[in-house]
Amino acid sequence: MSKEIVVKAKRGEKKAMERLIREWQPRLYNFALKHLGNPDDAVDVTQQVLFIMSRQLKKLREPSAFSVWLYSIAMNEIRKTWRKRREEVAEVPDYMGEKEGLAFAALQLLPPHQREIILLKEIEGFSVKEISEILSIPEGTVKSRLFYALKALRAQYLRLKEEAYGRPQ
Amino acid sequence: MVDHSEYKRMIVEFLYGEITPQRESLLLRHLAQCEECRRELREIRQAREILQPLRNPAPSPRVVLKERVSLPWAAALFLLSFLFLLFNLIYRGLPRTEGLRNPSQITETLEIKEPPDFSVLLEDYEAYFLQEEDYLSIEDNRR
Repeated sequence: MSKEIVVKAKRGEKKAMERLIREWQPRLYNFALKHLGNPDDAVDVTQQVLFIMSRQLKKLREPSAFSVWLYSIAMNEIRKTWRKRREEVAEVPDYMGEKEGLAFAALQLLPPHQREIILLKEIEGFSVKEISEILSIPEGTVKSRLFYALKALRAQYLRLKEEAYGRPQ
Repeated sequence: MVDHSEYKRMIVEFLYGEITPQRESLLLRHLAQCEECRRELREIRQAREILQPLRNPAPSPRVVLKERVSLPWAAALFLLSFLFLLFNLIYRGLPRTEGLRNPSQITETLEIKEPPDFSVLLEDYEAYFLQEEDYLSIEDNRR
């Protein structure tokens, strides 16, 4: 993603805005789906994030911080969706294979603050510093939270695997 | 003296390649003598392997961009259409007769004042509202 596209979109160039939306939509959808565990919620969040982005981009001071800024919006919208949701509606999507489905299910069993940090680091590839900006928490907290989140994920994965296939010999 | 919670943070930095050389040598020295931290490192590595298949992108819906017409403008357009319709209905229903001298003049006046096709205007208005609703709509093409 070039900074130039962000600058053009920020200036109000329609083509650049369309390109931004087309490029970021699949990533945001993936992120929301893996976080919320529900395709319909993921579509709603993606649409809302892109809409907010298109309206607020002119306020972004530093175009190179675009992805961090966009994911801050995404995290806000995902958290709003979590608050609105009364019951757990996560389900393993049909397209996922065995290992991916187990990993996805294990991820859904984590508390949201652990799940979000794993997704930002492992799936989106943000640095510790960038995550601290997205979530507005100190870098030290990002590292500790990530450490315990990964441990919890491993424990949930092994538990689900044991339930599905029995205890390994 | 570095405590274990700090070594846990160092393990994270180490696994993601975000550790400084000084902290890395400190961690490696500690790992050589701490069985608990070696086990933690192994478990975190396993957790990262578990996540590997999730890095595949999900089949994603497609965003359809449409021209946006803001709600205030659509409302203003509707109001104008409505007023125009009202004005013409009143005008047609109560034609002014002052100054007209004979029936042929009346016919001529009515022909000139033929109102536009309001159904077209209303359709336009509906189209604007549809565009408003459909803006950034996402078509679900996963099925």
